[in-house]
Amino acid sequence: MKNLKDKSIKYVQELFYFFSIAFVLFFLLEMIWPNFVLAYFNINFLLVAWILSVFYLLFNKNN
Amino acid sequence: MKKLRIFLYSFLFLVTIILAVFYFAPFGKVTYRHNFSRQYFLGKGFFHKFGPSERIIDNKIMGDPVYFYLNSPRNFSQAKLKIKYLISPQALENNKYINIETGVLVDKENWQYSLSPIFNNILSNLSESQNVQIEDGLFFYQKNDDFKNYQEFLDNNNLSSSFFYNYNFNYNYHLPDYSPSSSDEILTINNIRGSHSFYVYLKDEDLKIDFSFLNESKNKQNDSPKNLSIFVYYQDKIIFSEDNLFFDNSLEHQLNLSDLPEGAYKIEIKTNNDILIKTIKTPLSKLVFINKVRLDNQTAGLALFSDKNNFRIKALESLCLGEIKIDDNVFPIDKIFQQFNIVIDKNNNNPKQLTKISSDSCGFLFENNGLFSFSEESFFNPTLNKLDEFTNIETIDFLLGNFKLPKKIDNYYISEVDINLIGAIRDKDGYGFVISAPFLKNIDNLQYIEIKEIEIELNGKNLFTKIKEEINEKFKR
Repeated sequence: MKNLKDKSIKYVQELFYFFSIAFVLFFLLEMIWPNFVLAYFNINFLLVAWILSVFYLLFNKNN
Repeated sequence: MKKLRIFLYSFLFLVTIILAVFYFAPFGKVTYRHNFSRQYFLGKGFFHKFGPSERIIDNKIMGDPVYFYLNSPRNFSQAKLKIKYLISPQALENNKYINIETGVLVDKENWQYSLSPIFNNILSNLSESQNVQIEDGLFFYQKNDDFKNYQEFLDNNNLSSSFFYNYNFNYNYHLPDYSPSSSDEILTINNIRGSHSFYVYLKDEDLKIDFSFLNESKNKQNDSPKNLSIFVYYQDKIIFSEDNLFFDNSLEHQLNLSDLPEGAYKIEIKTNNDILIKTIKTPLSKLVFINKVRLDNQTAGLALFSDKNNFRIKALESLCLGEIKIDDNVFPIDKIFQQFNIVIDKNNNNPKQLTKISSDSCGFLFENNGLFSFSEESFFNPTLNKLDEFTNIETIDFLLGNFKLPKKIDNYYISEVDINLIGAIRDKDGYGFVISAPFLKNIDNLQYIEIKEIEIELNGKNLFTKIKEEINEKFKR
């Protein structure tokens, strides 16, 4: 059980890095070329996914 | 874990590349679609600022005109606009003339759009008759079977009972019995404001016009110097232009062109409403304004003549409110900025007689689909009959239109128009578009156009040509 949890933390941690990089990248692209990302994709969805990953890591790592 | 990492970052890289391809349109072609029944969920799309809000509610156009913007990442040269729409049964029943046009913003200061028709009920009704030919993208109707095709009709130049729709026929107009004025008389026009276009006629004469412009901007110190442009057209082609004449307070300018063939010449002055055209002086005896005259600062009242009997009149200064006399009818123009639509009965015995407009006011904006002159003697009409809401359908013997009939699927029409984007304005909001439907001028809940989908395909130079051009440009310098 513990093994599975450790594994999931590792996966979520990887997702957290991915979301952070994607968010920064999209933010920069949008700043340089307005409507580059937002026309097709609402970055808020990415932000929500990033926050969920943060909370998951915070609660599970502390425990 | 490494596999997941490779997958995620490859996915991010791929998404960024796809977004870049969509954004920069490297192959010079991109299509944007806006479906009103399926609003965007994931992104905000490229179409925005549909408005004004009281004229477009959800997907129903209730008033005229309606504007929207298309956010495009770079300049394109051509757009193909496809629109799927429904006209409410009440609107189809209650309006004798339904004309819908769309176009792109070409002059921001004067709020000018280059329009192309997407729907016309007269042409749609006529298309059901047998006397219609569609050839080379042109719609040609003849009441009787007089000509084999439209080329034969144009060659015969029988234009008195012919009507044209969105078609510029470059015919060589000659005014019968015209001879240049032998006296030294000068035709003078005083105090008109903003952009204007007019025709002059000349034969063995020079095209000589003296202009005097005055900058009446209320905030001169903070404003940048004013500029204006003058264009001269012969048979719808620019033969001379003076672009961007900059000035601070006033400008005296002479237009002087010689060795020109006999005919009608169109002169276009493009500027903004801060500029007063103090005087226009010419030795030419024929001069008519096209579609619009905005008179201002008139000290001794005003008098105008027009070949039409319908007018849109607006007072733009509170001091100029007053009565106006059109032939024998008097109308009060008692509200500032309100458009008064006036139609008078035309003398049926002499339909060619000009309508006289007079007033003691200091100025109004006059608009119609005809011509205006400042005296009966200076009037002439080099234009062709154009199909409009005042056309009596019974009088149409021939109709030639540059118009693609819309397809009808169930109750929906699908129209397609090609729009030239060279010269179109693209600002931070993108390209500005308009949908004009003058029959919706009075907002009525039962009369509307329901838009289902708009699709715009943009075409232009591909990225490689563009880069090549930039490099060539740099090396030239």
